Amino acid sequence: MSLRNKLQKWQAAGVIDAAAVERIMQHEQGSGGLRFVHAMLAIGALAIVLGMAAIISTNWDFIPPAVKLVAHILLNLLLAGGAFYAHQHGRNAAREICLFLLAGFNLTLLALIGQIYQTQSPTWQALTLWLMVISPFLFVLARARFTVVCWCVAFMTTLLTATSILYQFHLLSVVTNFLPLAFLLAGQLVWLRKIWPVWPRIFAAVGYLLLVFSAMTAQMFWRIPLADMTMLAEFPIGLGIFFWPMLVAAGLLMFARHKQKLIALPTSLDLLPVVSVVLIHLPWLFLHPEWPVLGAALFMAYWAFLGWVGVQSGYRWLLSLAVVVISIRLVVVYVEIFGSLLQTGVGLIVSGVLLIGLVLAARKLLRRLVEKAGQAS
Amino acid sequence: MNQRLLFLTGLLLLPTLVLGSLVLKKEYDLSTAKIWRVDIGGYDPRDLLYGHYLDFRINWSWRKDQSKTAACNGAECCLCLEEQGNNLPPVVQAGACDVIKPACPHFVIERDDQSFFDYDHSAVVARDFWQNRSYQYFIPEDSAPELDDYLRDNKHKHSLDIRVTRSGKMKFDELYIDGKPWREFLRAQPPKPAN
Repeated sequence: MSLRNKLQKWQAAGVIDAAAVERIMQHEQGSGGLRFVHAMLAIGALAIVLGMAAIISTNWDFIPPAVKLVAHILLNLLLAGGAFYAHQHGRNAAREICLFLLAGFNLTLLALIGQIYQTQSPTWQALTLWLMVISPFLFVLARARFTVVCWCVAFMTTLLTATSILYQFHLLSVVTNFLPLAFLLAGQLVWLRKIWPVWPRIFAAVGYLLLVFSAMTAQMFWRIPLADMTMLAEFPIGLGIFFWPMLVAAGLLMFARHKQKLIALPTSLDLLPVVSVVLIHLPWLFLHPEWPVLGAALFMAYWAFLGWVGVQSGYRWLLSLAVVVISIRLVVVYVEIFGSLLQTGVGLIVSGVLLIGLVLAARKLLRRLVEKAGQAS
Repeated sequence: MNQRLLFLTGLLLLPTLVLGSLVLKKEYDLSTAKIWRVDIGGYDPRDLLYGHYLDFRINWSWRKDQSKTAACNGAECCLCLEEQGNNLPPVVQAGACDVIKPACPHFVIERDDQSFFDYDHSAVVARDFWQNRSYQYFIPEDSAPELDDYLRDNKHKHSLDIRVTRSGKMKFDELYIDGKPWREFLRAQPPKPAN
């Protein structure tokens, strides 16, 4: 249902008046248009950086290396000047574009230097140097969510590239385990939110995403029979040893929120790190055979929990998403477990019944929530 | 200009200053480096050319008394280069850096990427370390297919100028095919018939 139809329905039900309908429509049209413009600007800036990278990759021979280097450095200086001018004159969109391009063009300049001087440095070293030089100006000046998200992706790529290429499995384990909690901490510190706009919010979102992703992928480890604890050494992300430290870290997050060092959030969102940590480590805590069904069951239980978190914390779309994910997983579980047509058929019928039940239950829950909200208002 | 503006200007210029310094450092290193010509071979003969760069190994000319058991010492490994004269590639000796460095006027020192933090190379044979290392050489996109043909056919000798800096870093310079710079070599080839 479109927004206008929905608003008209609410107006007919006497929930809002005609003036409110108009105000909401004007607001939504304005912000929607702005969002579209920002998205287009971000895509345009990204296209320019990718274009520059492609041009440098061609490694044109007919332009002398010195000319290429000087031209690129001048271009970067021009962008730095542009960002400075836009910042001083309050031109936010221009500033954000210049900053994004400057960050991207520093990476392409680094690639050009590597190409001209035939440097043999590994990728992670180049990425680390790049992050070190661009982060200060981005931290201080950049406010566009797109830029912040790109920085987070670059940061994680650098960390994972460095740790995995170096075969530093223990370091990789530390990074993959504690990174989500570190992002959550940085993103929810009250004092940091006060002095630093935009960035902490994105950090918190990235922290939650990483936690959910890790917990979702943990189901795969139920497929590995853990017959002997020495097998842990064979897996790079031998997670068992990190269980208690991570659980303590998740508990400390709750404690810090209790002490009002972190921003106030519904308790359900506070439980999310704790539940995720348990789910991530569970396959590594005791010896077990190959248990894909348990993995699937825990996966679905986790998504049911996420749906509950969504309802409790006001993100109802999370409940809808949980229903979809659980439904798909239900179908997949029968395909992956049962072999014969009879068993698959029975399995699919059972999953279909479960699916219908799940959707009906979710609808009932949502209806109840809407009624409750209506009564409260 | 007040302090805040100076701070912002510094932040925005920092990347260019750092990368510009990197360029100057590389120029200085190259200008003071000694040039050696070494023979090279494909890392994987079936696929020597990966897009825009060659993936190759250096065919070192080993000294006759090169130990087959001498090990690297820790994460770093060293290679001593000695001139042979008559345009011949240098003879080399590999070993632990604490042995090679004090006794050798021209040495190359490299660290295994995998050992950056704590991996111990004490068990790695120095000769194997240098023989197994692969490198990349960037080439222009428009020359890649033609160059690829000459690198694959095994009829030509490939060599490379390497510049060894005083601190023992190795930088790559001109690539040669049959003793000629690769651009000159390609220009001298008869045009291929159109398909």
